[in-house]
Amino acid sequence: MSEHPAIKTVVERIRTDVIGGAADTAKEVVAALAALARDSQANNGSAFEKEIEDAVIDIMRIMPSLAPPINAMHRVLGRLEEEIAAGSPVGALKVAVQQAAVDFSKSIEGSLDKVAQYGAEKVQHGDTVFMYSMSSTVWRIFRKAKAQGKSFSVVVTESRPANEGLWTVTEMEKEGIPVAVSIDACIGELIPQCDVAFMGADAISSHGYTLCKVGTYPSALVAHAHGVPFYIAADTLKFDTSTLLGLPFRVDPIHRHEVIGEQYSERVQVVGHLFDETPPHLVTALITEIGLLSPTACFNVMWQMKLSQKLSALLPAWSRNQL
Amino acid sequence: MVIDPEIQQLAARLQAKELHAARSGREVMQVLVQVCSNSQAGNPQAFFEEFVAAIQALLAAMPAYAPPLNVMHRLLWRLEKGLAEHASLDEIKTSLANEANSYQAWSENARMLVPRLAAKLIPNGAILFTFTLSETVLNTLRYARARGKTFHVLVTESRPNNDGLATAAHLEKMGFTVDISLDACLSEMLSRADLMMVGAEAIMADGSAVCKVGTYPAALVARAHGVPVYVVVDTMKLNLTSQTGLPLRMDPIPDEMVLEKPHSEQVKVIGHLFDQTPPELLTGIVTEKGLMSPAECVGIMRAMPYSHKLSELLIAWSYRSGSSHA
Repeated sequence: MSEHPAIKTVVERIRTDVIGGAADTAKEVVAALAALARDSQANNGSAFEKEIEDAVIDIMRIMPSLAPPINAMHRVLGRLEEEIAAGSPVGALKVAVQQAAVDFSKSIEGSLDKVAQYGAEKVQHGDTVFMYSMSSTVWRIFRKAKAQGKSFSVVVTESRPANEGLWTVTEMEKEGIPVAVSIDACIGELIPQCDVAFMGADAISSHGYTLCKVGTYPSALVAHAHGVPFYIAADTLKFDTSTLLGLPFRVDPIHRHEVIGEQYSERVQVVGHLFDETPPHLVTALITEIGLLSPTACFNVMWQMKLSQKLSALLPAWSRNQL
Repeated sequence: MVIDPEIQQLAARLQAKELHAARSGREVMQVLVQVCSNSQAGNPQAFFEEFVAAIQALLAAMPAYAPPLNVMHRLLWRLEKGLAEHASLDEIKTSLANEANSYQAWSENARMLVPRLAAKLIPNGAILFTFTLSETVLNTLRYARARGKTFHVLVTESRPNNDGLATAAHLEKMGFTVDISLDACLSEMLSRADLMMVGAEAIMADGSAVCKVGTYPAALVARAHGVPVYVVVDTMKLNLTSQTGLPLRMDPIPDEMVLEKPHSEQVKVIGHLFDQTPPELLTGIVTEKGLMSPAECVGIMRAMPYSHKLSELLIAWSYRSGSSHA
């Protein structure tokens, strides 16, 4: 258990799900590790390494299935492991962790701007654009396309159970982009009328499957059947490196109270999960900060990422909720 | 022209969508026969005009259900035939009453036969996915169980009116185990299923099925997972009007079902309450005549009574607001 207040705070904030998005969670995690490194009293390398490791275990225990914070920790821990391997003194290790945190936060904003820029190229003047649920990355694409002087309208569905699609309605209204909304079941009618579809993703696997809000996979099938290009917008922080190890995505179930009232007996069970997996053959391209990629290129990108051996060793237990 | 109060009453119920498709067919038949026996018309032509006025009053209120339209086709066809053959008013009225009786007998027989035939398609121990609420599917499950089959049912909410929850409640009462989830959760549900079985509002001349919205994506997912899709309907659901290429009228989703508070002009609610599943996604259609390929529907349609007068009226009806090109 880490006693550092920054670690305790970020653990509590993740546990109670009060942080907006996955990228923000990543930033907060990295900042907390940097604060721990800054304040560390450790006077030798292994004591410092132990301090960081304990904090990472605390964070991973409560970490939902979000690729970005895990990748962020890979970067910080990977840098630390490099320094240790090079025989650097403890002071240099502490600096390396703080510097990795600074580099990470800088890279995030730049990445999302690039995703917006590349994605906006796929919005044409006069288009009707479909999106599912909400995604701050896709919203960035729309803002960029509008700033380029293109006029287009957005179609979105509710995205039960939390109705994040209605957040998209409010956001588009604020941005002055015309928006039409319907129920999730209506994708079979609406997507064929659209020119292009954009989705955000929660995670992308090493073999090109994208984990998105439940309902994305049927939407991709409809788009495919009607020849509507289907783009997934995500920076490479969403590439889930635990899938390289053969681990499944960890996905939260839909709760009983979200679907039925108390009048039903145990003969009626609520099933299903909040995310589904879209196979690569239904995705036209992934829009990332390194460019448009075929979803099957994910392995190559992950292979070049710096991965921490320590963190990789924790992932199997984490994915089974046994950390 | 004075409209029979019973017609007005039924029109109000149709408008309020109190009746489902099969039921509205039966009620339209009953009320039209009533018009026939209440009629004060002194000659066949006056009677014909009275009858057409009654049909127009019903059409004004009617959702896009096939059975009541087919009932109208059947009666008007009989009436047109009588006029062409210079039959007397009494003869025409008698022929309409006979038509109504034979329809009643046919309908009861079909209601019994379709579930029996469809139940044969459910393997013992199957996991069956159904969408929304269908009386025919419920009757099929009831029959299959009475024949000793055990199976497990999967269903989703079916927004906006959550008919899927009503299905779950019915099945629970009948003693079945049911899994329920969100409409968006189709892929997870269907990848577990052995078969998908749904009712339909109408079957079109190209063999496509008009069903509660969400059925088409469900059928796409079923296809991707190799799950057979069966539509269970009696042949009154075959929409004769579709042979003329008229668009299908579908009701739009009302704003208040999606947005709680009013938004600016920039925001609108779109979409309809039904969608159309193309024939290539349907493994088979089970009717009282048996299991058939969707491509066979047009053959049955061509053998059904068809009124030219009604076809004329339906042009205006089809293009009324809310129509969607199918």
